[in-house]
Amino acid sequence: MSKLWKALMWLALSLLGAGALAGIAFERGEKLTGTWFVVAAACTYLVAYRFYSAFLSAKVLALDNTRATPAERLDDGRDYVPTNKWVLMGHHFAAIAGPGPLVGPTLAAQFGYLPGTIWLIVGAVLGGCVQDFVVLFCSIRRDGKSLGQMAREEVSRRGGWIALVAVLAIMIILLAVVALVVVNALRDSPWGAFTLAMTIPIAMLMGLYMRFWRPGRVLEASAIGFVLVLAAVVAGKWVAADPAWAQVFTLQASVLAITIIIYGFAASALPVWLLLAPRDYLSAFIKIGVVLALAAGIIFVRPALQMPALSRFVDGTGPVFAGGIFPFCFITIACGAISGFHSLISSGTTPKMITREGHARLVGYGSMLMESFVGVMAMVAACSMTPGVYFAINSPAGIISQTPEAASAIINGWGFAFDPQTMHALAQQVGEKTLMNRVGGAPSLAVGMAQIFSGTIGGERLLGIWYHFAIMFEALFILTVLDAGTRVGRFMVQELLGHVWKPLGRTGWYPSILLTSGLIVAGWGYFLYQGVLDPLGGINSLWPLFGIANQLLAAVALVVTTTILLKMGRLRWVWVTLAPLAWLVTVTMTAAWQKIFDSSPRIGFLAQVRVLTEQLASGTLAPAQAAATERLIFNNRLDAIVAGVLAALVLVLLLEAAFEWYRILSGRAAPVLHEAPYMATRLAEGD
Amino acid sequence: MNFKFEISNLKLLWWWVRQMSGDAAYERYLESHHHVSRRGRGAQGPKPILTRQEFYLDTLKRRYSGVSRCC
Repeated sequence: MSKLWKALMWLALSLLGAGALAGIAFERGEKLTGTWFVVAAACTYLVAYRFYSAFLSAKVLALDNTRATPAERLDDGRDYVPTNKWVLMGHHFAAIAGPGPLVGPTLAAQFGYLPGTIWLIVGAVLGGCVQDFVVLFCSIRRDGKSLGQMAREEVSRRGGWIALVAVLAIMIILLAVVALVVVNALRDSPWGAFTLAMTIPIAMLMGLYMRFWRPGRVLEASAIGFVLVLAAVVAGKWVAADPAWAQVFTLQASVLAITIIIYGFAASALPVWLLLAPRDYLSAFIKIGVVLALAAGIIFVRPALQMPALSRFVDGTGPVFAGGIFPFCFITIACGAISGFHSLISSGTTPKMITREGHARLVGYGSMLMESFVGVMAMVAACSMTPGVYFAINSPAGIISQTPEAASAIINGWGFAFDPQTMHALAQQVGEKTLMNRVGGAPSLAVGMAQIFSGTIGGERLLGIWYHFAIMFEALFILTVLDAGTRVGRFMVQELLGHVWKPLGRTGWYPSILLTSGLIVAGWGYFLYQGVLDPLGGINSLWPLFGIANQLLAAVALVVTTTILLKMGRLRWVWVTLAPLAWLVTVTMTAAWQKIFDSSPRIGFLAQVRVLTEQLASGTLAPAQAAATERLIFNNRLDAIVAGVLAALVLVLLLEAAFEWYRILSGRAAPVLHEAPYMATRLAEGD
Repeated sequence: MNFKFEISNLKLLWWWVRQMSGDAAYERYLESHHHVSRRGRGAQGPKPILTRQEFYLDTLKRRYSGVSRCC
């Protein structure tokens, strides 16, 4: 293709994307279809990948394909393995894309589709993709070192500790909040609870198959598992229809929470081959399948978006979670736009498997673009249901009450048409007693997905099957995150305690395993239980806390990368990480401040404490209520402390880094990089 | 676009799925082991080759000792 044609093609693509974005932003008359979003996102991603990531590769990082990567130099066939770039991209994408990009946009849809969509696209292109890509590059140059090790070596010793504490905190809050999502999706839902319960023996069967009968035959076992899981989804309908069985699997939220806590403890102590690994294989498969199916569904069904571009809740009074667009839209959507957690994957297994430095562009920047696309699709699915139904599902009982009839006046009062009969009919169609107050995003996303899928296959007759398939899919990989996260958390605590008393650091010593697993599970279990008891639904306090923790970890990653860029003498280009860092610090510090000190009791933890204390002091509460209120007061104080400590830690790191930057720029300290020395690659050109 | 082209595309997709899922990990390990031991690994000499089952368990142990899944 001649140069001119290429230029014209990119120009056309840019214009198409800009046109679609303008259509989304300014269309107020007719309803938009999901296609607009797919086109706007895809064109922006292509242009950003072609130009911005090329600029990052060539100018900012100066990727060097003649330099041997750790995978080549240290090739041991296990940790360090040169891997085809498309395969590695699949690995990396499967690792970074969890429930976050599905749940976050669904919750942020309460502001309308516009703020979330713009943040997903712009945040990813200029922030998230850059972070993932640059951290990956830095780790490749350092034999695949972790973010914590890089923080210690390149910023300061304290930097390493701060990264470790931030990771542990985010892990605990993340696990609590995703467990809460599962609890809200499965409480009083015999069909859903049965299906998810069945995935445990199914995963174990797969585990035995891959361990003893056909070692390592992942695809065979996954195919068997997939068929069995589908059968479990279908069988769930019969279980729910049978009064005796339905009773067994109808679990209250608190019972479900305790069950999940016990399960989490057991699962983290079981050998990985039995439960965790097989379920991980299964969920990775279903995840990629569902993402592709959702894309196809949105293109073929072309669902019309029912939610307005901007809802009345941009003022901060939203029922799903309280707080204005700034800063809360930007911490609610973390995964999908920019997520600090990714920096752990980018400095984990991926850098040890990359064959050439040049591949980091596709693997680091490209995978994150795909995750952002998943987020945009989740936004389309959430906004394609009628707003009345969306708010009925996603608002806690404390705000709209428990029955459609009672909620009707409130939701209609917000200006959204809502007919209680529609809500009853929808619950019946999907095979649930009620869909009211199922906060956490998963159920409303499942309804949105089921409506799109049933528009392609099966119509309304299969709505229940699709809904429960979607719930099973979300719950399946949330449980995987729960197991894997508890395990990693356990290793971190063992490492920490190993400094205090050596035997506690031994990962294979059973008393240490039980103690540290117990500590981690108690950590997230406490926050989970607190969320279940919260009359405002738990998501209102826990999801922002998770968002703050996650974005603060992103700030840690960007501090490390900015320092490295400065040491590399790339002062001219340092804005590529410094600008997203400045934005994230502004957003998270504002959010942390508001969550702690805001005068509205739905936003500020301390204001909530004040209101509850007044209630308690009035002496009108019954003894049981008074005890519950005391617990709520304690929990709100705890949440305030967690938010404050996280923010303070990152400020300390930022100050240390700023001091280091000053020393480098003023020439007071020679910049010392801790890169592995250059070695020329021995691979042939095409490898 | 002819039939042969389609087949080679399908083969490529199947290859990608096997690599991606970890189904082909053991074959890759054998290849790489062959590679590594041919190059020689210092004084330790070539490491013993793991069986398919040993390799599978070893892979899992390594994978789940670090952050393997994200939010």
